[in-house]
Order: sequence, then structure tokens, then C-alpha cells
Amino acid sequence: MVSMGLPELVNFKVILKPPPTGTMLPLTDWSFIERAPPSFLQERIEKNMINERKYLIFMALVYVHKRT
Amino acid sequence: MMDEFIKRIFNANSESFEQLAIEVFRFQYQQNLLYKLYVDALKINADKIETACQIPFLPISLFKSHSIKTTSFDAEIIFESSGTTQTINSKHHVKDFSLYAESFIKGFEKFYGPIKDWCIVGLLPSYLEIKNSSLIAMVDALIKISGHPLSAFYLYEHEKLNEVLHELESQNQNSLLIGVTFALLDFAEEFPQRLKHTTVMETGGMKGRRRELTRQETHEILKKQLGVEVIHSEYGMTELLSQAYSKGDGIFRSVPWMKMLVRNEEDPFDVYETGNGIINIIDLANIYSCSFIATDDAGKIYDNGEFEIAGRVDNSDMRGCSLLVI
Repeated sequence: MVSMGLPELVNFKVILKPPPTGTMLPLTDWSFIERAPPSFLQERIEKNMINERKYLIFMALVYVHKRT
Repeated sequence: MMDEFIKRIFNANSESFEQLAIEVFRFQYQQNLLYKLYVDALKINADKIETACQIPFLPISLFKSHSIKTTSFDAEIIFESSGTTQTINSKHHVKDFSLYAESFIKGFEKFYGPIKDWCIVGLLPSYLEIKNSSLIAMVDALIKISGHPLSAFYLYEHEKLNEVLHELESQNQNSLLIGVTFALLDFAEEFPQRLKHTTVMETGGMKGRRRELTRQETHEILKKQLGVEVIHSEYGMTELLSQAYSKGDGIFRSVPWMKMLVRNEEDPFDVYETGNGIINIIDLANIYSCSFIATDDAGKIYDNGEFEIAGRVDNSDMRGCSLLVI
């Protein structure tokens, strides 16, 4: 298997809604979303800041990445 | 049993495709651990999949990071995509090269008739320079099957290629000049001519060698310089064992065992058969890898199944900045 980090694989950018909203998050902090509590994400989904459907795929890829 | 299954795949038609796709989905869900993990993580009940549009599509990026295999096998060949030193290439583990051969031979002949009627001229310099290109493997096989003494690859030997084309034209020989876009443009600029018996087919790609042009711009230049009425195109990728062809104007049709769908850019689970969106592909020939692939290509599918590719959805298009907003 080639060496490839999760950031390149899942490209979490795609789950984010376009500006202007919220705080700035450094691109390198890819694990931020994964570590974030569900309430944090749910709140942002409700505020239409995160694309919930793309978020599902993001988390599925995180899961696959960790299990393989 | 698998031989019979594969036979049914290559005999697919519009009536049988959906049922075959469901069967392939169930097979791959059972025999491809990575795909199963992905489907399960999405909390999709595999037993409830009843239509092609409901089948989960694997993000194409996984071909860059994982070996995508259905059943356990040592690959006969591993196809690798072209890329720069900064990019990670996709790898397609192919269990049996003959499966790929059957797909591209039947596919080519469906669109262009018997290969033996053609002289195949390959102008694919950048691909020849990388190892294990699926495109090179395909064209190499077509060259050999054609059996024509002038069928061959040309790297940067434009003068020789020009002589060969003149000779083929003088013989009224049906010829296929298949080339990567930048090389065709270079050749056409250097040797403008009027081809009457030669089909010019571009496989896409500037590979950083020339300024990016739209497909329409590229075709206009090639038509003018090479004196042909239309430019044909081939649509394929490392991750697929099947191809689609365009006989002009960038309107493609795929082989019967491959089907294009589109997904909503904002909702990847919203998949439909016609309209604009991001392309999802079902390639049943990918029986031993994954037949259900969510690509990064944007496109449009027409009611008759023909389709156009509009470009790529890449990371830079999404935000284009190093800081993100959350």
C-alpha cells in the first residue's frame, strides 16, 4: 500500500459550506472534525455550515482508513 | 461459475444491465472487504439495494491509497495512472489481463468494427514513459491485433509519423491515429495536412506540456490542421477496464457493460440517470476490483445515454485557499 495520509484521501474541505461563516480552521488540522464532539458538528450542520451528506462520506472514509 | 457470470457481463444490454449491476454489487459487497466496510460505514443496508442508482459508489481516491480487490488474488498486472512527482498515482490491481483485453477489444470493435481492418498508429509519448499504463497496454494490443505492418507507437518521431500517414493515405488504408492531446497538437502544428482515410482520436491530457485548452478549442485546431471533419475521443481511466468513445463533438457513448450516472454536487447520495452533475460510473468489467466508482469528473448525461465531460472537480476548485471556514 502506498503511504498516503488521511487528509489527501478524504479531503475534508468538500464537506464545508462556502464562506462567509464561522472561524478559520488551518488546513493541516485535518483531525479537527474527527475529534470534534457530535454536538459541535450537529450545531454546524443545523446552521448549514457543513454539508451533512458529504460529512457522512467523510466519516465513512475515515472509518475505512482506520480499519484497513 | 465466474466464467458464466463474466460472459453475461460482456453480453449486457440495456434490459439486462440493471439486474447484472445488482448481482455484481452483491458479489463485491461480499467479496471486497474494503467496499463492505465503506458501505457499512454509510449505514446502507445492502439487502435493500434494488436499483443501480441506490448502489453506493466508492470514491475514486481510494484507488490511490488502497488495493481495491474483490476476492483474494495476486494481480497479473497493476495498472498505474500518470501523474507528477507531487501527486500520488492510482493503482488498479487487475486479476486477469484477459478480462481487460476482452473489454477493450469488444468495446473497440463495437464502435469501429474489426481491428484487423485498421492500421493503428499510437502517438502517446508521455504514457510510454510511465510503466504499466492501461492505455498503452490497450493500444499495444490493438497494434498487434491489427496485424498491419505500419501499426506502431511513435514517441516524438513526428517526421517519421508524417511519412507513415502519407503512405497509409496513399494506400486508402483505414487508419486510427490515437494520441495524447498535447502530442497531437504538436504534430498537427508541425505537419499540417489533409487526412481522408485516417480517424484522429484524442485521449485527453496536456500533461503540463502545453497551455490547457477546452475540448472544443483543441478539436477546432486539430480539424483545421489535419483536414478532418471530426475529432474522435476516448474516455477511459486507470480505475476502469472499459472505455467510452466519441465520434465527434465530445459526445460519448459507453460500451453496454458500462453505464454513466450523475450525482448531485451537493448531495452525493442523490444519483440519477440523466442531467448535469458529477459522474458516477458502473463498469461491470471491474468485477475483481470495484464496479461502482464516484469520479471527480463533472458532466452531463443525455436521455439517450450519451454523455459529455465538462471538466474535473478538484480540490482547488472547492475553496482555493489554504485556510478554511468552519
